[in-house]
Amino acid sequence: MCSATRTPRIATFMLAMPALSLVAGLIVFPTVGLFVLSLAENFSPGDPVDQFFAGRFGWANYVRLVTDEFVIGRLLRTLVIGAIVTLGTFIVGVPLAMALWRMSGRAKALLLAVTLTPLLVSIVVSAYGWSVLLGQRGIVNETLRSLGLISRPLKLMHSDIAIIIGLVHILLPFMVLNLLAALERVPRVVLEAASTLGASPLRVHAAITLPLAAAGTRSGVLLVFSLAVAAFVTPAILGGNGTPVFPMVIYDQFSGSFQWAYGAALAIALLAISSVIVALYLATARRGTY
Amino acid sequence: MLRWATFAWLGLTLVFIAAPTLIAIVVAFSSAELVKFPPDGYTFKWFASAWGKELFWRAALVSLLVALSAMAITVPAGVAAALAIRRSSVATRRMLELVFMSPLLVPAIVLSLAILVGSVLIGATDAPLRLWAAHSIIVLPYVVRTTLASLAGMPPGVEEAAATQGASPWQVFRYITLPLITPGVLAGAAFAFIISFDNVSVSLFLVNQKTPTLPLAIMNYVEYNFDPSVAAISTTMVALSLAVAWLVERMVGLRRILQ
Repeated sequence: MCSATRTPRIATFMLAMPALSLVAGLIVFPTVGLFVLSLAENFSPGDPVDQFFAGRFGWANYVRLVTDEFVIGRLLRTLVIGAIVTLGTFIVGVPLAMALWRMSGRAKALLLAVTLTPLLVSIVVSAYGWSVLLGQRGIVNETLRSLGLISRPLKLMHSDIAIIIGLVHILLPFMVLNLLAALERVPRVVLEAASTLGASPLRVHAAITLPLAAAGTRSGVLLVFSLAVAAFVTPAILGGNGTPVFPMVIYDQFSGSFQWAYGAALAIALLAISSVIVALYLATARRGTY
Repeated sequence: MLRWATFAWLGLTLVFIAAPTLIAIVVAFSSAELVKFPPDGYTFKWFASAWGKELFWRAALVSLLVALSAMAITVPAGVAAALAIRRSSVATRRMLELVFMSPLLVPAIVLSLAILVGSVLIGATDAPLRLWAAHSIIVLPYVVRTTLASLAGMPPGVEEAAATQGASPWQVFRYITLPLITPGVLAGAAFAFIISFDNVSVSLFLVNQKTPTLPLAIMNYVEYNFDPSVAAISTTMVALSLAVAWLVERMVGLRRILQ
């Protein structure tokens, strides 16, 4: 690439060293620690640290996990919520991405900035905003009531609906950015050729744009799904204390019931699930568009 | 007809995107004690009340210290990593990029718990230390990305020109590369600051409940109080985030960091 400044391999390695040690020390080592803890069969957090490696090790926590109907139920429900959220971001995101794709200059920059705001605002703030909007006497309920559409307030907060709305909101930017990147790789000449040959705008998009952008769509879908399944804070605020998502079950093992080792096994299971989704994401993202 | 339908749908989408943030801002300025819309009148008293609370000040100080100390580690490490990526062959490059993106790919709750367990293992259970460790790693991808983006934006050949004129690799970096990428690196650092300052999901298991970070202090406060001062403190955070985002957009472009 820059042959004149190319330094020996050892110098490149030295440059990467500090960041590599951050990843090794703060991701790899702690995750291995979490995995080891998940194998501990009689460890409780009150135990001194040396107990960590002193007890018996085995797969008991994982066996318990796959036979725990409550946990499996929560996991399935989380996957369903994740799928609905992904579909939601897709439906809302496609027209937005297509609008951005056709725009240029200032207007595009402005619309893009608005699209990205959910990423730039703390999720605590967004969740607070939604709780004001969706509460018993919140703006949505009051508006519906004054329009005479409902007689008693709908229970929106502390429900799956609130969780889905909140997650679609914060994950929409990821979907739109992926879709937009895919659309921008579609060569415009092909589209022009199709319309010169008499295809209607709708037909051009259905027959050419969408198939060509399909890989980008897949990576957007996988990314949003993996983030939705692993999301915790937004469901915890909008879904209330008994929020039925899988990460909440993990949280409870650590904060409520103090079953650290079992909680670690659940966390490793979540990591495994999202690793599979991320691997698929990387595979589609790398293959490019067509 | 189709055109108007498209516009209407886009308009609704934008309302959806902006609604929660806008509502927090409106509530922060509305005079009524109870959250109401549209508000009866406007006031600054909630800002006075929020900024007068020692709880929020202390939390903001914790967040500030965590963010700054994380950047002190990660910005130099991330810039060096980006330089290494640029010098590598295609295969190594892909691998390194993936490794440095990994903090984004691991679920936040898993990362938070892993660092909790790791800190117990090595016997360093100080809350500030744990937060520092966690935040250092979560901002790494953003620093690496912005630095790569600004390296790619350098005029071609300037480094080679300096090198053929006899500059040492260090001199090339110090007098050519660094001045050219500084705006990008600063933008990356600013973005990293906001990511750290706004973070809740990774801090969750690592804070000491007596000295939470600002977002966690807000989260705890909302659980028991519903007065608009929390909207005022949220509005302050939004203003800070958007100011930094604007700065980043001017310097390198937001998309290049996020994609």
